[in-house]
Amino acid sequence: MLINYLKIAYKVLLRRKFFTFVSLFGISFTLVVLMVVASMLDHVLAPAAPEVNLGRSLHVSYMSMSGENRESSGSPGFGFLDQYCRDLPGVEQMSVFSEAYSVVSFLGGQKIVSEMRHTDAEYWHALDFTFVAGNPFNQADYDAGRRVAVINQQTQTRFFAEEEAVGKSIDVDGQTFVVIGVVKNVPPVRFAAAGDVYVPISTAKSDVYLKRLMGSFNALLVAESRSRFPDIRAEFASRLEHVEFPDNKHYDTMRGEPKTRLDEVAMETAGPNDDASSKTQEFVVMLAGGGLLFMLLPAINLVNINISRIYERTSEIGVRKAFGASTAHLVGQFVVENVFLSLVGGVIGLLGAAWVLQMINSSGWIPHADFHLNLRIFGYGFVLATLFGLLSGVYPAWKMSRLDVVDALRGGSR
Amino acid sequence: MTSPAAQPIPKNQPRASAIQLDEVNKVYRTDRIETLALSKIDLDVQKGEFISIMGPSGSGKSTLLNLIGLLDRPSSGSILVNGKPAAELSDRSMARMRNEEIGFIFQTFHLIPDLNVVDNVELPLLYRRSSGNERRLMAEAALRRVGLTARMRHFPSQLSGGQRQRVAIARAIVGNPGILLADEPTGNLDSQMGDEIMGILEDLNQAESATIIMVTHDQKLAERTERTVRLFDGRQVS
Amino acid sequence: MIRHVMRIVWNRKRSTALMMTELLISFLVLCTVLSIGAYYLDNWRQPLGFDYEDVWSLSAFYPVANRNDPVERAALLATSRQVMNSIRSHSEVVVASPTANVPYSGGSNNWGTFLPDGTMARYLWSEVRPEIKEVYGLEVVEGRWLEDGDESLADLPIVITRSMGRMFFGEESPLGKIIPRLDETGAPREAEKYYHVQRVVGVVEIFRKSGELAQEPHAAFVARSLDDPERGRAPGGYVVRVEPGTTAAFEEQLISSLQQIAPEWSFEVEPVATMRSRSLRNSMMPLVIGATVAAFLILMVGMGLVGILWQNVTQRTQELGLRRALGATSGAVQGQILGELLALTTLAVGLGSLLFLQVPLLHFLDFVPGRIFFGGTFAALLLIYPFVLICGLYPSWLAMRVQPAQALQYE
Repeated sequence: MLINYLKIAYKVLLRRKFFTFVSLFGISFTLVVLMVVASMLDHVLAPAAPEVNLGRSLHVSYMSMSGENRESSGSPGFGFLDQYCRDLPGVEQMSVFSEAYSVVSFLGGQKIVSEMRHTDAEYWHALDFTFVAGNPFNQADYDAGRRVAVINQQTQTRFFAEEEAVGKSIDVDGQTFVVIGVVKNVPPVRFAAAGDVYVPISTAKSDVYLKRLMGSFNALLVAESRSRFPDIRAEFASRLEHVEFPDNKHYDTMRGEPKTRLDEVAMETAGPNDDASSKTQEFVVMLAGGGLLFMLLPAINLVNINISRIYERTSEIGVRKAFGASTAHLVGQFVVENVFLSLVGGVIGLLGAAWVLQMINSSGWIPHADFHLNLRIFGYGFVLATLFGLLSGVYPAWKMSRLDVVDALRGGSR
Repeated sequence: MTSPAAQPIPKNQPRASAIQLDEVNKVYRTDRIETLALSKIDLDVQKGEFISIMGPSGSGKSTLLNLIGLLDRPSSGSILVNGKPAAELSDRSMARMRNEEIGFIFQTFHLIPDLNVVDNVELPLLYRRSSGNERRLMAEAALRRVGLTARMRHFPSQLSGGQRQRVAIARAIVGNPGILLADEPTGNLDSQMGDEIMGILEDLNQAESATIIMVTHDQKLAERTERTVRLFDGRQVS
Repeated sequence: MIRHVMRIVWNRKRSTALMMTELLISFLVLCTVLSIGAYYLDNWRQPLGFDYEDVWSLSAFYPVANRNDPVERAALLATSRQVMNSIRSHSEVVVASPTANVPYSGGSNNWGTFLPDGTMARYLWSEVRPEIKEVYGLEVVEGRWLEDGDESLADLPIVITRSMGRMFFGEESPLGKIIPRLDETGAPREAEKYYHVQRVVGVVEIFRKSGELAQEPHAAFVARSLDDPERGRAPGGYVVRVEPGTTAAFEEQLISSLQQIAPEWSFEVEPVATMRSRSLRNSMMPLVIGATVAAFLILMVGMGLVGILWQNVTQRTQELGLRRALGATSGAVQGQILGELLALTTLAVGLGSLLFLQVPLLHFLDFVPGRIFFGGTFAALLLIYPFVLICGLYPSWLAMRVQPAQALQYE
């Protein structure tokens, strides 16, 4: 039965090549766009090296401090994270590190701009970097304030061309560091890990950061499991009550909460909000709604074409009915045809999406981008295509089942 | 074969009714107008009978055939097909009856252009439980019956009108239905081909005692059937 | 004829409803794209108000323990003076000034002042040295520019852009007028005690810090003190005009000389022209992607329309043949098909305009000013008709070729 449906579907598609082209063009184009977006989101939200524990990680990356008539918001400072965020319940590993910021070096008259991070030693355990040479710095290096640096491959190439970097020194931001490790490049969407040069926080040029409540530091909290998130957030909230504001009488309140990556992305897109979860829901609803809306136009197009085609096929429908096809058979046949078409479109869309992602990767538009289609995206694509097929097949099928076949069979075609 | 021409005398007694219509009316309603398409039709067709329906355009011939074929429901009155009252059938069981007990032949053949000859013939078997192999064998048998085994892989567009109608007949008989409904089966054919088709129908009636109800314009063809029902303005006139 | 066409469209309303929905949505897409496009085009056409060639941005990052500690502030200010002097001492440097509002940079320094009617007027507030006029090539159109010593006057002299003058004072000349800094209650703000009274001394044409694509901000310049430990603050950014032909080698020289003065600080130098191309590329990218997607959507609708009209004509062969048989010329038949299409489009466009004009009420495309918004809608109106006509060309040509005999062929 199914084979027969597919056979008919195939024949029908070949008969009206223009319509088939229009339908396939619409479906594939829509799916390309949706799949590129989906794979970008997946790329941002799914755990990937070095953020292998992303699924059970929380980030303290956005806080706001306020007092009468003033407010300051952004990354918290080292002082806040060090004093109030350690030993939260259910947290397995914790790392404090700075935002990445641009620093310049000069090498033989050439300017090199690198993204630098100051991190603690725990950073190298909480995140799973791939070392192509050397090792990370350890607690002893950190405590001694040794000027050692881990760099990525891009930085190695920029400073040392093809040569081995470990053991050599680099001048960055007016300081000299000895390279002790080289890691693979990390794309910028790995918010907590992306960077070119990583050095111990203790090598900072000045130690004023030690006490600041707001500043340019983030904390990564790797929980035992996601189920501990509420405990962590509750304890975090209660500690906020006890924050002391020693040097600054203008401020009296600190707000914010540890965020998941989805919360962070939602905030990037929709703007900051203290209540992360409502913002996140809004963001997810917005995405889903946008996707559906985007599918609407091609779906209507397809519905239109399908309905036009039904009239062309009244005779076939009439014959099938006369020879014992029930309404369910006919609706089934039509929906199968449409889903078949959508899946063909889905395959083309998938190839198109792979091509677009390849273009994005090689264009350098997003540095170190490594978008690719994985099984999960393939699954999304399949679901999207089927959804699309159903969306655009059900109405024409309903319309068809109500078609007056008695007229169609009377001998003429009116 | 000679035809007894309008002699309503059954050949093999006793015979059960294949089709029974009792006081059947069919009214088409639009917003303002009611059209009476059929009025008080009583008809009893015995199993194995070959009858023809005649009448001018718009006299309700096709409407009658559609009612008998369970493609439409009467406005009032009862229809029994092989003893089963049509009014009590659900949509699904009506579809099943059409599939198993009735075969249609149309004036314009209504072959599906996207399917080749065998696939077209197999069509009714798709809507019942049968394996692909079984279907193929039955379709080949039906095509053999109409003498068209040589063109099984052809598409309808590659066939002549007479050949197409033979394919349509093969399709109608492939599921061994007891009843064949033919709506002007020779209307689109020249007289020689029409003769051929009529010959096949007569043969089916004789050899396999198929009940055949044929709508026709052609007095000569009508004379070759056992009896003729005449319609005028939705009324049965003989 | 029009009534006849309308009647046909109406009688076929069920079958044309979907086509109309499609036209409606594509009209809405077109309106959105054209409004946004017109907005950016309009912005692009206006002057920038500054030169970016041979201008470099220099950022200084300094560690601060407590901004309110007077000792620390004085120390930072002293270092900033040394930094400023060091920048000026290089022969490659023509002129330089501190500013928090470096063109094309991400951050900006804005202030808000309550207008008499209670609304907040926001403007770009640049605290600079008078030399910035030479750095940017600013043009004073009224009054005077800032001068040395302005920074210590009680009524702080302020130079504003024309648009800012209009915002505060309408068509009156802003010269000599006061732009106060008050809170919601109309009282002076404690934290801004040196800026309570800003007296307008001059007007510059325009200053579009965020570049060609962004809407013109209201902008103002005041003189900055690097000496007074009470008023002065260590600047985080400078703009430097360098001699034409200065190469990147000087960047290294500049930074290393500054690094010697302030080893705890970090410095970064970048030509404003480079920042401009990066900023333009980043702003253009979503526009180009959005426009491409919209173009494909419209193309899709176009092809769908061709298909449906084609089908339509095939289905109506008999009707069209009959019309021919009754004496309609082939041109009239073509006109009929196109006429129906245009009638349908008009219905969709009417409905679409009604819907789209709700957009400003919903504050959806809020950044697009009304004038441009209506312009975009109007342009979409003008464009959708030729678009639809092109889609109808082939199907209507097919309709034109229908012969009268074909009307009879079917029965």
